[in-house]
Formats: sequence, C-alpha cells, structure tokens
Amino acid sequence: MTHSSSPTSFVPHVFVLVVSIIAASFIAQGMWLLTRDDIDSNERRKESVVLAKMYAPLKETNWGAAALEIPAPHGSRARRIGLDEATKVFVLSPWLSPMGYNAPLTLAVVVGSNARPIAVRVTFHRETPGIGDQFAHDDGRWLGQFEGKSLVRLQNWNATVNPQDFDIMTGATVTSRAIREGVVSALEFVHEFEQRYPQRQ
Amino acid sequence: MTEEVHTSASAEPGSPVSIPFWRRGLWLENPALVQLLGLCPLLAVTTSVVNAIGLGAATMFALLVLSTSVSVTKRWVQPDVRLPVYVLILASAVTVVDLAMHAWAFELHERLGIFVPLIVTNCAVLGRAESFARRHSVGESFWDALSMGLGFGIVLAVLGALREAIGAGTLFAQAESLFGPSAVHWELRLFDGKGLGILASPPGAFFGLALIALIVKALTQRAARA
Repeated sequence: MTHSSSPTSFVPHVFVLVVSIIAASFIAQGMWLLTRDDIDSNERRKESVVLAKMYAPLKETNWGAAALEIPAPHGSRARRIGLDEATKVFVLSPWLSPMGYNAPLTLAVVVGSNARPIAVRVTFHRETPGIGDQFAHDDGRWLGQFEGKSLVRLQNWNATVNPQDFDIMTGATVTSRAIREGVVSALEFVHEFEQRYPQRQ
Repeated sequence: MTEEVHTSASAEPGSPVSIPFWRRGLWLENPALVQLLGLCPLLAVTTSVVNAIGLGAATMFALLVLSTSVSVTKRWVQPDVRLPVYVLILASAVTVVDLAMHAWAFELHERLGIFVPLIVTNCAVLGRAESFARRHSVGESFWDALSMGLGFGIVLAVLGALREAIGAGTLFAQAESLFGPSAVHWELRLFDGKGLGILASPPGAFFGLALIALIVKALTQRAARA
C-alpha cells in the first residue's frame, strides 16, 4: 500500500463547491430523465393494485376509457369512474391531506355516488413509527370508521363535544385530525363537483 | 483506525499495511463486524437475504463511487470544504441507485424504503473516504472500497440468511424482486410453520449480529495463536 505523494494544487472553495453542486444536479437530473417513465409506470401499477384492494369492482375497471379526469388541487388527482351505466364512483388518489405530525399525508379515497366514502387508505406518510402510524397496522380498522359517513357528519365532528363519534388514535391526535381533514376535503371536492355539474350524474 | 495503518509505504511484513486489501475489508477491518459501522440499515433490512443483498449492492456502489471520486479529486479539494463535497458526491451516487431501484427493482425499493436514501449518512461509507481514499491513489482506493463494500454486503447477506432461515423458514423468498422473473422459483422452504419469531424481529438482528461477530472473533484469535 503506497501513500500518494502527488502535489496538491487546491482550487478556491467557492469554485469547488459550485462545480460539485452543478455536477450533482446534472447527475440527478439525468438519472431522473432516464428512469421517470418506468417509475411512473410502477407507481400507476401500484396505485391500481391499492385501489382494487380498497374497492374490488375497480379491479375490472378500464381506467383509460371509463375514467373522467376532474381538475384537482395541485398535487392531487381526481377521477370519476363509470363502473357500469348506473354506477359511478369517484377515485381521489393521490389526495393530499393537510400537515400530519411530520409531513403532509397522501390519501386514496374512493367515494360512492351517494357522496360518502367507500374506502380510505393512507398511501404515503412520514408519521412517527409506532405512534402516528397505528392506522397502518390494524388491518384498516381505524380508517374503516370513515366508510359510509356523510360529509356533514365528518365536518361537524368535534373531539371535545362528541368524543364517542370519532375514535382518535391514542397519542396521535395531529395525525388523526390530518387524515379526517383530508377525507373531508375529498368529500367537499366531490360535493362541489356534483353541485356544479349535476347533468353529469 | 490509525492513520499509520494506511499511510506508510514501507511497512514491515506482518504489519497491518502488508495485509492484502481483500483480507482487510472482508475480515480484519470489516465495517460491520469489526468497526461496527452502518449498523442501523444493517439491522433494519436484514429480515431476508434478498433485502440484504439489495442494500449491500447499493452500499457497495456508493462506496466505490465515493472512494474513487475522493481519490481522483483530492488534489483540488481543500480540507475545509471536503465534507460538503463528499456528501454531494455520495448523494449523487445514492440518487442514482435509488432512482434505478425505483424504476427497475420496484418491489425491492418498496421494501428497502428509506434505507436506500439513508446510505448518504452511512458512516461506514463516509468514514472510509475520509480515512483511506483521501490519502491513497485511485487504484488503491477502488480496491479498498470494493473489499469494504463486499465485506459489508457479505455480513448483510449472512445475517439476512440467518434471520430469514430461522425466523421465517425460507431462503431467497421474493428473489424475483432483485434478480428478475427467472428467479421466481429460487425460494427454498426449509420447514413449514412458524419459525423463531424473535430472529425475525428487531432484537433478533442484534442477537444474529452478535453471534456472527463472536464466531469471527473466535476464528481470528484462533488463527493468531496458530
């Protein structure tokens, strides 16, 4: 093993840092351009598997032909899916929920034609393991309490006045509220769409 | 690790520098077993041998890129700014690995989760660049990084195999997520029913690592006495 004895010719700090940052940015950007199509495809496949688990009829859905894209808030996506001539559901996925304990949560919400949630899942979160992520380890029981609830009931829920109306995850009040507010905003979005375009029912 | 170990070119036979690079990385200075570095991901992802090999390969790639780059650029980078530059190089390498896994080994990427991006903070990687690559030639740094990466990866794989075999009764479960569709039949079922659950749980990782470290230490001492 030999010690390198090459002469040193240091370059100014700023120049080295700027060149490093530019090089790192180009590498990251180039790799993103190379992989983005495959990553999008993987994420879409994962999403369709999650949605089919949430609501079995979506498994047979032709997402291209049967889906109506609805302009959604930045970072969220909303579609209305025609399962058959009479049955239409709203799929809001990804749907950004307000700030959780560490970061905003991403939800998937399937809303029935009666404007009530059919199923709710958290598809991305940074909540504290073991405290804020209890919803991920109870086989969907906690998230199941949203199913079939009306918008008005969820809007009017108050932890202090009606604690029995909504089960808060122990030690994770912020996360519980963030998920509830996300579901409420999804239902409000659907409600507004139906009010604005009643002929599309 | 002392600086003299790596910087003297005229070491006496038998001294640390005369030891082949592969023996240092794989055995005598193994990052996981001897230096006890990078234990967080090591303990977290070794629930299966496939996860372990995936993270081991990602870590080795990052180590190779960082050590080689540090050695190439050492004459131009002043000591004052070396750490930000090292972190930028490492972050670039890890971004490449993370995006590649996300695109082409999606299921493995989902299972490894945050531990691929966290390679940036792995002290086994940064520490090697600081203690070795900064003071040695490009070739020496490359081979040192290869041996250290292999040493780290082999410990990951052995611990993963131990935990998966005893904890779940399988080996190479879900190998297709790393090795492609042709690996779908690689899974070996060692026994039916539940395995020893504690080895599959986080404390089992500590027990498993301690057991491997004990065996390696005993073998090293035995070889030294012989």
